[in-house]
Amino acid sequence: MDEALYFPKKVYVTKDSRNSFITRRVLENTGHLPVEFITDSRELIEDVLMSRNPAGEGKKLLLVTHQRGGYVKPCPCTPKYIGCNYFIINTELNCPLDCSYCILQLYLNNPLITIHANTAELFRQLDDFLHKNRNRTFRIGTGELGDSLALDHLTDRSSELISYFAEHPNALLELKTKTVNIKNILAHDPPGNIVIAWSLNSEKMADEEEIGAPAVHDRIQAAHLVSQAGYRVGFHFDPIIHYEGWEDGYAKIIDDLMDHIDRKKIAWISLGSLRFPPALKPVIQKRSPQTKIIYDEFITGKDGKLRYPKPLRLRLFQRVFGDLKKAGGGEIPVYFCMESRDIWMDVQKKTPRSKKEVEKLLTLPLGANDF
Amino acid sequence: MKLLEVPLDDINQKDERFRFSYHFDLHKLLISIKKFGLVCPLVVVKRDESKYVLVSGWKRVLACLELSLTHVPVYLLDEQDDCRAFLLCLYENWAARNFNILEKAEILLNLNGFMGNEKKIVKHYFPLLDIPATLTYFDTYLKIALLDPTWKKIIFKKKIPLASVQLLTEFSPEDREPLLPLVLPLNVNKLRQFLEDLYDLSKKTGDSPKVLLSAPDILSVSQSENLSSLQKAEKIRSLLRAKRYPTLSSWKKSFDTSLKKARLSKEVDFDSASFFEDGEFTVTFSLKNKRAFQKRLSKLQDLISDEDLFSMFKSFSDG
Repeated sequence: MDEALYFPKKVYVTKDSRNSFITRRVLENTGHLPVEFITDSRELIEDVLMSRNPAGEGKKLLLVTHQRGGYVKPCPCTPKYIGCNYFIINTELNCPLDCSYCILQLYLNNPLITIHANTAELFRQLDDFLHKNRNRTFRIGTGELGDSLALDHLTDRSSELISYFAEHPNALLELKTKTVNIKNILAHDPPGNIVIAWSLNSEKMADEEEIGAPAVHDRIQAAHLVSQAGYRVGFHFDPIIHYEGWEDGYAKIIDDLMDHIDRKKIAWISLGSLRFPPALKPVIQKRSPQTKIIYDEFITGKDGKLRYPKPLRLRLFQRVFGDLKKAGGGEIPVYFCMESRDIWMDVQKKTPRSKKEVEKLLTLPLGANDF
Repeated sequence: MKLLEVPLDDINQKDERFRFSYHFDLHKLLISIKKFGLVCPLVVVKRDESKYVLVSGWKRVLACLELSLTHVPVYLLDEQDDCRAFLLCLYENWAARNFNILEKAEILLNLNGFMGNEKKIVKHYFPLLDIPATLTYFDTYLKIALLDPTWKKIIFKKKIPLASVQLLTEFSPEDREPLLPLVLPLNVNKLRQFLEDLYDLSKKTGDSPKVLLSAPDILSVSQSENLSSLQKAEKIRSLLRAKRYPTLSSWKKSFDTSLKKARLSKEVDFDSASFFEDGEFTVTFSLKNKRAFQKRLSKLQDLISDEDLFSMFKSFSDG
């Protein structure tokens, strides 16, 4: 298992975060790197934004600062398609991996790898949020605006979150990653409401498009270790990419997955096809000139994003879903990320009436896949 | 600054070091000069003994030349630093009007030549020019400044928006050459689609745009003697679209064929919104009176037995 850990070229700490616990931990773990304490991060951010490759340059610098806005937010999902009632915790921003299709390249208010250090405020906001939602079970995760574990060797954030959520069983915490950075996870007792999830792709797409991410087999190996340690695991085939030979490419990964992971340990699998706002296309063209995936045929979906035409999406989903079933994953809850009711119905022969129903499907006890 | 009256010939019209505007409509200025003379003096600097270098007033100089004026009023600027002289010209114009894409490109090319500090230029002058302050835009505008004059003229005349011009700069000069007669007749939206499809196709296939435009089907259109330049441009645009989106184009074709077979009257329109994304079709029809309404309904009623038409519904909504 190839464990190439991320280290920036330089660490910046805003003065308000200087004494926070997580800052001290980050500085301990990056002791060999140059550090600069700054009063205000705006000038630094503007400087990186000005560069020819803000997303690329931003990955080289680590900013430890306070989160000024809310830590907990509903997942933005996409308008006019079925969502899954997911909530996100913005503990980190941006990701050291460099996937060609990554939407974060477009969110350029701050391109630096950013760790939010006001942890006391994070837990205060989580307390509030969980108290308000004490009568429901829902899913929440940190992997939307960054990779949940890519910085874990610097922050040990996972331990804090796992310990916290162990005391709050009405929430399912998902830590979503493409890395194999699981040392801290394995060092912890696994509470039942923690799901460690991996984004998977075919080996070819991972090699060509997910630059800096471990091989897919290594991710499955990491998931195997984590599930053996007692955690529930999740998988996201997202984005499924259409290319010559995609059928075999994804079938191979599904076989690998089912060969190595006890399906009873799989909390959910999501499927999503490649989609992106039109504004991301020139960014991908510039940052990943070798990629061909953006030159496939796309339509403008109901949400304004470019996506494969529906018949092609159906083929992709039906095949991957069918392969999962064939490989023995028929009982695993499968949901679609940002898809229409028709797709649910045509692939799974059932469709949720609302995002609450999706939430219910994914928070049911293991093996009770029915809605 | 000294106000002088100088012979027009004493202004070195070959020295364009401060110039950033090249495309002028002189019509109104000619009328004004004819009526009242040149009201607003030019701004010049002296760089050698014999000739003046024009800092500001190219449009006025061209108008005066056209009117065969021999002498013009000038302000002689006592400024030895070219960069400062250029900034004077820039601010003078900036205060009076908006710059077009080509002028912004020339301004940045000049500033780069005078200052050579790209970060400083981006930070200080991009907000002035209303350009997002990134080096990526700096590169784009420099590429625009280096386009050849024929393309610049087209960009100016057709008011081509930045996104399309940006795309154009991505083509090599050799690839841009065969494009010229093809995009010239198109409106700006179709021009953008043309460039986008050609660029994407080139990336997808690995063939250069020049090679793609030399394909037999495209050559037969571009070399046809029976088609006007607009017809050629439109046909080639459609061919490129079909190559860029073969599946979607074939669906559209078969959708149109099915509708044609159903022999709907012109007043009835079938539409598949968002490339069949909804799996739904919209039927609209117009009418003038109750009789026409009955007629349309009866025609639509007949369609229910049209198996071909409804098999098309199935194929597009289910894939």
